[in-house]
Amino acid sequence: MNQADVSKLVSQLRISVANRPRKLKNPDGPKGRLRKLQKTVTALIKHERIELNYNRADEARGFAERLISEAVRHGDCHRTTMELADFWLLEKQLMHKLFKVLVPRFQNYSISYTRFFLAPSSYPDKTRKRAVLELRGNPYPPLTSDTSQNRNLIHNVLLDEARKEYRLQKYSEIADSLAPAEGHAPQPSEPSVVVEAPSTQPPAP
Amino acid sequence: MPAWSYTAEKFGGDTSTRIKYVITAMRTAKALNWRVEEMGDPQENLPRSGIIRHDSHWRKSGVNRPGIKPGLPCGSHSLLLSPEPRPTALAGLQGGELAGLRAGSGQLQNPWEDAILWAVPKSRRTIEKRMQRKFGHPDYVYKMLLPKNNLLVCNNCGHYHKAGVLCPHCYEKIREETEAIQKKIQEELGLTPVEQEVIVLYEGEAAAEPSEFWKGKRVVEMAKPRPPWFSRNLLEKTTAAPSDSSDVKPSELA
Repeated sequence: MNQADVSKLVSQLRISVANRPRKLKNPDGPKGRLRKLQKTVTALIKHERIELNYNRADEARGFAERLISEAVRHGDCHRTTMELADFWLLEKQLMHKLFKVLVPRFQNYSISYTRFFLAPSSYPDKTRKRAVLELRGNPYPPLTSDTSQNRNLIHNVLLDEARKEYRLQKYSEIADSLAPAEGHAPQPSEPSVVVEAPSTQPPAP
Repeated sequence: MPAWSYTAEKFGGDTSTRIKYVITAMRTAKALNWRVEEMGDPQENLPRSGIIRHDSHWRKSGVNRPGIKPGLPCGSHSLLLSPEPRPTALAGLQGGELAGLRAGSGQLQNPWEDAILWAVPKSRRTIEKRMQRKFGHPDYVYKMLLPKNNLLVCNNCGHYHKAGVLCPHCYEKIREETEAIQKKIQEELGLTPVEQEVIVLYEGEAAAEPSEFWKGKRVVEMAKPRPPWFSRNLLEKTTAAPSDSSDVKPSELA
């Protein structure tokens, strides 16, 4: 069929979004759910790091990513994008922040704009799953530790070398066991180490 | 006297020859066929008052059904006298031979009429049984206590935490600091629109650089010294100054 390619109409989100939206129980129904999500997205843009329940965090994340990606793609002179921002940002001073601060920050990103963590819960209290949602590039202390330089730490360097050495030694052993068989017919290899059966007699005094 | 005739008397039933053709608790098809033959044409010989209906040995006694006297032991030769003929689909379950015993209309009533009575608990589960199901028992429902294998040691603080979840000790520390910074930012900025990146500085750091350094940035100063674990380097891409050498590194080495 002559189906137009619609895959490029909207930016690909760099997070995984579920097929079905969550209902998120609300006394005002779907309208109330959207209102709650608006508040969540507004809070995320305002504070740049929020802690909340897992389900709402996951829902809001998708909307926040979409909002930022639209702003980055079209900028502030685009009517539809402006209407979208106007809908999601309940505090209107954040429209300035979105287009003037966040867009330049995320201009050349090839990864997601938000980070999502599972927040700890106190055992044995069986509370709801909590999550921490934050924008990348926020000024707060980081929640993850940078492990990209771990390979350069001295103990890892030494251990890596030791592993290499061990592997080479094993290869040479295998090569030695195969080398005599090159000239003649292949023989079943005998174990190099003979395990002694434990003696039943007591050791001599 | 056989048991069935006694039961018929007890219920004030007719102990005439017709009742002798009542089917007792039969377990063989042979006996069933013999009874039906004796009756001749089933439809015409059916008595108007009091139809004796065979209740198969596997039917539950004590079930609240019209025409059934509660309290009859299960598996007995249950002869039941009902005032009106009530053919139900259950009679059909007992085989086509008994179809002739139904009086009046041959129409089938709603087969789901008694459905509410089919799968019901017979007796209350004792507290012992309930506990066994809940907490497990080797002979019954075996619920093993298993160790949690998804606990890891945090590389930063050394406390234990669940795999895939933030370390609670580290997170608590970071959360407190984050909230202090957020509070300070709110105090300083309020509802004014933010048009530059916000830089958070601690005691003495703003003075370390010349004022021109902070020109295009929105600085928020915290009134306390920088915590030792929150290094400034963490937020910077690199601490090395940009190089001003013009040497070109050789490429396409052999």
